[in-house]
Amino acid sequence: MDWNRLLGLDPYGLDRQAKRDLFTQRMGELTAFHRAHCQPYGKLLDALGQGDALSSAPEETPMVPVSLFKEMTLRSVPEEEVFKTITSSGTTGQKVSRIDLDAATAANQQRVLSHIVSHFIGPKRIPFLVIDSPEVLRNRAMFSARGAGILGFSMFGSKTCYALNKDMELDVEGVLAFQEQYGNGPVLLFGFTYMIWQHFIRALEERGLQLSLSQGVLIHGGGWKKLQNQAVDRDTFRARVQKATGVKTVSDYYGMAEQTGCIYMECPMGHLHASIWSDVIVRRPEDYGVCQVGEPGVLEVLSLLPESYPGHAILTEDMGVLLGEDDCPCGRLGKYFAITGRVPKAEVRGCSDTYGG
Amino acid sequence: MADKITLLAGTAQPVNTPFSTFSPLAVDFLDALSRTIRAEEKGEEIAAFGFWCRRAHVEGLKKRHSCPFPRLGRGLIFHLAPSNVPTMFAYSMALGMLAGNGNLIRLSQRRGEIEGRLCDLIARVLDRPEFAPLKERTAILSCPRDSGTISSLLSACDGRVIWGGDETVAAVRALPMPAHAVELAFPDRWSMCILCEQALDQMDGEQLAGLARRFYNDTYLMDQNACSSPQMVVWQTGGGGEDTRKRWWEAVAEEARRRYPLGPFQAERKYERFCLAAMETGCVAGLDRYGGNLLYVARLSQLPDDLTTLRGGFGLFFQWESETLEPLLDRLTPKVQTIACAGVDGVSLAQQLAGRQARGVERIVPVGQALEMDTLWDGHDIIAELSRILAVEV
Repeated sequence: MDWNRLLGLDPYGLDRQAKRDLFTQRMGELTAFHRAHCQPYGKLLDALGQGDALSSAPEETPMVPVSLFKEMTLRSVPEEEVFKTITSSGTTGQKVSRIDLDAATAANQQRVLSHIVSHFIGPKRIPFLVIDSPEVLRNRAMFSARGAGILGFSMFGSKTCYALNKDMELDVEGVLAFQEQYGNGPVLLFGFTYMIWQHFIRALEERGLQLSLSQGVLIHGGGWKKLQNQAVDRDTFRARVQKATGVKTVSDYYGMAEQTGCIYMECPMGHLHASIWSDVIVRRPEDYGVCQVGEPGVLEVLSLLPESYPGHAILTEDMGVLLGEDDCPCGRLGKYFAITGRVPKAEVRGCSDTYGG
Repeated sequence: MADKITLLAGTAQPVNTPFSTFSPLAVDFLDALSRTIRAEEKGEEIAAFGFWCRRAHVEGLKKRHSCPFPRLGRGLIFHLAPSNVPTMFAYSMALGMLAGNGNLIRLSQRRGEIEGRLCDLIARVLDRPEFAPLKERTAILSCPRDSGTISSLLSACDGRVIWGGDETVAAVRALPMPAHAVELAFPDRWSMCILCEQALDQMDGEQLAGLARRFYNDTYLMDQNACSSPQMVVWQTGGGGEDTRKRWWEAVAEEARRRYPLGPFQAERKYERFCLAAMETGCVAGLDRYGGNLLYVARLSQLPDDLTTLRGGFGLFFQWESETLEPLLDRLTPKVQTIACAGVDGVSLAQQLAGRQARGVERIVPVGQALEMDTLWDGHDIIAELSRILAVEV
């Protein structure tokens, strides 16, 4: 894979055929590589009856269910080459994913993230306001995808400030000082959707504070589940963020610890976009056949990046719908889609686990 | 402490004066409950319990457990019921009653709607004046899982019945009971099915569909999460072939198509368990899908050393074929519980197992009866263990 050439391309500059050619080649390469270097993955391919003749279509790449990264360590490099391990943010008591990265994969993740985000905020480093507590990075127990996300985005910051104190309360003085110093120029605000809502926007509103970061961009991710419980939808969120902070551009993103780096950014039309380094396939729950545009299903994510672990084709536990390809009014090429929720948990019937609750 | 306990049926302080086993009052009560359920209940799970506790069935059990000596309950039995087999607590209570005991049944605080309905039915029948002596001996309650509450309940009991996973059994075992008290624990188990290829080959479409319907009841009905639900299907070969197996799985898929609520959750768990087994055992040679994601058959190239690592679920079955059952019998561990079979003579299979001094398997049933509750379970005679024989030497 010629990364230098690939990273020189426009993140949203390949049309359907060009992207398909790229993925057809690279998915096959990655499948063969992981088969040779990750024994359990090889066994899975054997069990799926995947012969050595690698399939040509990206949608035929064998999927690894995302939950498997919680059950076992899947690695395609020797343990001593592991550069860092990313864990997914799970609520207390849940199992978390463990993703082992070697130096090359970690570096490519950073570069891809940088290219995607720069596309939205420009290439220059700008003052960075993290809507979270600095404890997230200090406290090992809190460090996970949340910390990794902040670290990942901090490379866009020329100066980093935190909007919340260690108790997750609004640091009014700190935020006002940030505005005083940088409020007239471009700034980046970043955080997790629910944290932004609960600890930042509502805290500003309660104090009757309105910031005026008119050249600011707010990027947020982490899902809507908790906000849906409070009946806060996208439009409400955006409107209240704009009112409380003065920020004009509010952009959601979709991403996961199992494919760090290639995040799916929301365009001004409110659509999530696949960059040229990753892709989505929406599948029918009945047979995992590929859904049509507009037909909701389970989301599979493909990424060109994972070399240290077999995570190039992952079946997620998210539901989504493909909205179109190459024809978003925002002008970006590639697939664009929406997340509709999580795969609903059904009550598990059976006789184990009687003591709980 | 008392305020943490919610009484759902019966009385808060059940007495520990025993009855004789299969007392007429207990048999009458269960039959009255059975009639009430059959008159009012449409739900499959509760209806199955209602059918189980009818007089004819209970009289049959009484005959099986007849004893020449006087036999009484042990007193008061504590039951820890599972949170996700909704009717299990009622079976456990019925077994405790038939053995002659008062019963204190703890339900999970996460209990669902089925438990609630069944509790109400039980409470109403217990409230009839003729069953007052049973009401005095019954408490169905809910309380937090903290060991303090459970411990204080246990301190007054003459025995406990623990339904649950290995962790639950270990946790409850650590709690003290009076020295004379007995314990029946039902930890995690694993089960399978043996099909005779020749017998299935000779079945016509209708017979095969009937067998598939019964197999569905053993498996899909509980997502194969019940301990006695088959995870693996073993074909005793000779006299059929690939076609027979294909016809069989198509019949099962057809049944599932009609009855199974397949959603994204079930599909994903099924695929995940398939991947896990393939990666961890390395014994999976191929996957046959029927009806899309409705039915997965994972073909085994060989048996893993530990059969119980083959975890199916949601319509995932591991399949192994052999002319002889010998390699299978060598791998029976204490975790293996039920063999459901079709076209296989259960009696000679049981003799074969006993002859080979098998470490596992305590139950052989025809396909369709894997989930049916019995007084003989996990190798225990539940009636015997929850009662006392008054031996007389003359």
